[in-house]
Amino acid sequence: MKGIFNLGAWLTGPYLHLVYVLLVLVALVLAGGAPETIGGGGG
Amino acid sequence: MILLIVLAVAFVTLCALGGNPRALARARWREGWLILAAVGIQLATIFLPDLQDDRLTQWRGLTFIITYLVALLFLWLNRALPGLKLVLLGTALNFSVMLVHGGFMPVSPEALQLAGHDGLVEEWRAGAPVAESKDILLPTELTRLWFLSDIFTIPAGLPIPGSFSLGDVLIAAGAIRFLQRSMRSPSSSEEENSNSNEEGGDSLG
Repeated sequence: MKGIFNLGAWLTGPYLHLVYVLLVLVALVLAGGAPETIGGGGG
Repeated sequence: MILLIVLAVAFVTLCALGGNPRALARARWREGWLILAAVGIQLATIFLPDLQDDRLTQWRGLTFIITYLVALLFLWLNRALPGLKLVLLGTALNFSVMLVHGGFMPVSPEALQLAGHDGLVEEWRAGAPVAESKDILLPTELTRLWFLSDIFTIPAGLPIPGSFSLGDVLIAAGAIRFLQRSMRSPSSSEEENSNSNEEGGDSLG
């Protein structure tokens, strides 16, 4: 049960915002960057 | 992928050096949906099949131009956050060279071969799209603003081989700066703010 409550804290607390902050950071790097491979080509 | 790996390594390194990942939750993006939409559309465009269809290629280029404008708008709105001015500058440099090449980032055949990624091009001709990227194949002598294109290459055999641009370097530096400043505990951030206010602050932080 404690695990479930912890999950609830993750989904409603500052952790969710933390995930959002990191997601946007990754997005801005991907959207602005133009290396020669974005996909799994190794680049 | 290079940029994501650099970002992940920086994040882990900063955590190991005592950075506080929870402190990142204090950051507040303005209009974050803009950049999420831009990258979503870009990824869908990058992984579209049938790369050799010329009409589709034109649409792909136009899509990149529009999504870069959206990204630049987002970065301008968030330029007050640490490191974001560097990311803005890097994105603007990438956009400049892409704009004069129909929305694509040029990479030379030599760079592609050096990175061992020549298999990503189906047809070796000037302007051929490079799979899984925003790039087109273009010899340096045909590239306008060549110094802003993907001129830096990590050769095959080394970790994360690939080519990247000056703009990519600035974007990575700005993103690392953002992590480094945002992962400080509130007390150390306040100390630094008071110090930088006394010293006049920095212009690109």
